[in-house]
Amino acid sequence: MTALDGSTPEEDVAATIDAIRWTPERRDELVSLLPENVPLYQGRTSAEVTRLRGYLLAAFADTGLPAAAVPYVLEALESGHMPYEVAGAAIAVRGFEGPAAEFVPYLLRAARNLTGADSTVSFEAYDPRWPYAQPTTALAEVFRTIGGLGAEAATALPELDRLAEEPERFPAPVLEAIQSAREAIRAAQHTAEAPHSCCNEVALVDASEEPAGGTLDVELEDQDGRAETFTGFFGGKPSVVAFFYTRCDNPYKCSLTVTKLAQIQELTRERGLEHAFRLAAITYDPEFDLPKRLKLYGSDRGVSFGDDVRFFRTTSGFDRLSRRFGLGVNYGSSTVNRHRIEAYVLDASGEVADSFTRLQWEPEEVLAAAEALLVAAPYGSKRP
Amino acid sequence: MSDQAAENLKQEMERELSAAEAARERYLSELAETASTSRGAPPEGREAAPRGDENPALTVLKDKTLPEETRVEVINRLAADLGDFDDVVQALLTVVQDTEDAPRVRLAALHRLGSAAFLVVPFRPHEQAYEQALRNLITDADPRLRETAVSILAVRRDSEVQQVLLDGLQGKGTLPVERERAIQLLAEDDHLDNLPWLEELYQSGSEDARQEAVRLMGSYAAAAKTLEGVLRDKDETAQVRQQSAASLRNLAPERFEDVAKEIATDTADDPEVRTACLHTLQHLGDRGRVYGDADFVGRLEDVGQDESAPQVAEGARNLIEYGRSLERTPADR
Repeated sequence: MTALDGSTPEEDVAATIDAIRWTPERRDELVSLLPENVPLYQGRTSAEVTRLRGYLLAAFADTGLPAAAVPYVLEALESGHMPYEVAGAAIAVRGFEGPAAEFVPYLLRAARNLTGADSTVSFEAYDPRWPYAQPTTALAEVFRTIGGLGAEAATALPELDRLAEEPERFPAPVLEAIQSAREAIRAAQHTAEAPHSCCNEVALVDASEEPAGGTLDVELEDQDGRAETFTGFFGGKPSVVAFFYTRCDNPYKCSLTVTKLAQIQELTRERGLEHAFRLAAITYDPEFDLPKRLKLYGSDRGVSFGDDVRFFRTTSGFDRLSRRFGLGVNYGSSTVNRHRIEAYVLDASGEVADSFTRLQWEPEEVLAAAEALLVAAPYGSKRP
Repeated sequence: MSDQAAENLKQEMERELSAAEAARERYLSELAETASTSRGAPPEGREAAPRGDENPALTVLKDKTLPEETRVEVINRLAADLGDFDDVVQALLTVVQDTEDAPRVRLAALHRLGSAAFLVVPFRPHEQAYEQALRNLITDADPRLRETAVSILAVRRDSEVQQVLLDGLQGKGTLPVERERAIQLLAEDDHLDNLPWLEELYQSGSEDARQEAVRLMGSYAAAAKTLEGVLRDKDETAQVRQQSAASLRNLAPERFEDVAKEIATDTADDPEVRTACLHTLQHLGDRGRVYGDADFVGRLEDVGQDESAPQVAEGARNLIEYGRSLERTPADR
């Protein structure tokens, strides 16, 4: 495949995707375009990135959906907020050849997220112009995919039944898709065996880059304008650090991540561990996210700042930081155009001990990972 | 309030309520009469007359043979008690998309739909049809309908309208609205890398457009230098310079303070802008950087004595006095 980067016209990228669509043996080339930080997305607007990713994901319905692409599909279903991309992910699931019951909770999550935020989209061609020849909506595609899973989607039936009893919540075409899904599942239940679980066969998390060790020369500024270094703050005791930016417009990503960070802080208080860990968030957008903005963003979401709880922007060395963590982020000409969810548990030397990327994480599981470090090597509450 | 005053107020409110109820009854009665006439005499070529039990308001709304004023008044007075919400929305959607209907009536219907859309839950079943209607209007022959629809879609960050606007700006398609307006609408989404368009808007636009351009630049870190240039530009209007100051302060507070100090003490600059700079430094500036700058405070003393610009002098004296009051009451810091 010709190298695709931020200067490749969208139409050319779409033509490449279409070419691969009919040669499934090349589908790994599509997978290689999924990480956020590949050159393909560099310098593009977030709207372009959404179009490209939605179209790319939908192509997996034709090529078959390989396991390596599954985390990206699940991410879009779970945390996507742009209907076109969510629709593309729902269509992609149809290409999965193994047992697919584990997709069902993610599809239902997508349906919940889209209620009230759905939109008419089309996959008839790349970036078609209105009026579309083959219009659809993200919700309709989600329910069609659920129906297509047949008996494997049996766990969705109670929710589908409930939704069908609330016709006032959906436009007629979506209601039809819900009804069709219910009928398809029930019909399949009469003939199918019990559904299998797929999850042991599918990698649900990224095969992230293994962060390299060594001293990380990164200068930081915190929410109060105080200078700090990466090694200065993230040394001496374990830490939880998440990445975010204040202009993120996806309610299921940065805003939720920082809210969960506040919940971790609350849990550490309840367990008397508030001095055992450090909590931090680092912005992807250091030029725009000035200290006051960091402080307001954290405070608004329940974070209580202190010596061990700080939000940072880098004042130098962001590229080094990005390489060390293998950050899943890319930029348009003015701000972030795409990023994944990412939180890390660092040990007392600032090295990554555990990572929670792409899919939603729960405060309890992240804290448990941090507590495991305490058990392995208990630390005092004083900073060195 | 005395008991007598309360009683008088109560009676006055009851009179107003009665009058409003009577007016509403009269209107409904007239509406029923108009609807009855409409049902009885379908013009040639019209579809079959509406059912006799149809809401009179909807009958009048749908009848294109009636005067525009009558139909617009029905639309403006349509409320939940005038008909079933779903029926009303359906009728409005039909009117909006009927390109043979009067633009004035269609525009009233579009505005009414916009209000109905605020009722998020009951409107949900119509959301898809509403979005489609708005997108259809992007290419409507009537410029007011186009602009209203494009504006609504742009605020919703609709991908379709964003692409139409972008294509138009790049010369790859027809712009549905004026170029200035297109840039402003596209800039509703700060993830679209609009800075080059905003710079164009600043260079070529009216004063209002330039003010809007520098306001929107406040979302782009790369615009700081441009904003500083606008703030320093003595040929620019005070309003645009002040908006530029607000945007620069949003992006680079320290740089803003440096420039504001220069302007505030520049006796050749516009007194309105100088006063605004002083006011902002006093209330929003970093106290350490403002009052810790002995050179600036010293120059302010001179400004405070300059009677050729009394408004600025007063601002300077206020700023100095405010600093002294902070020294006297350290707890307030």
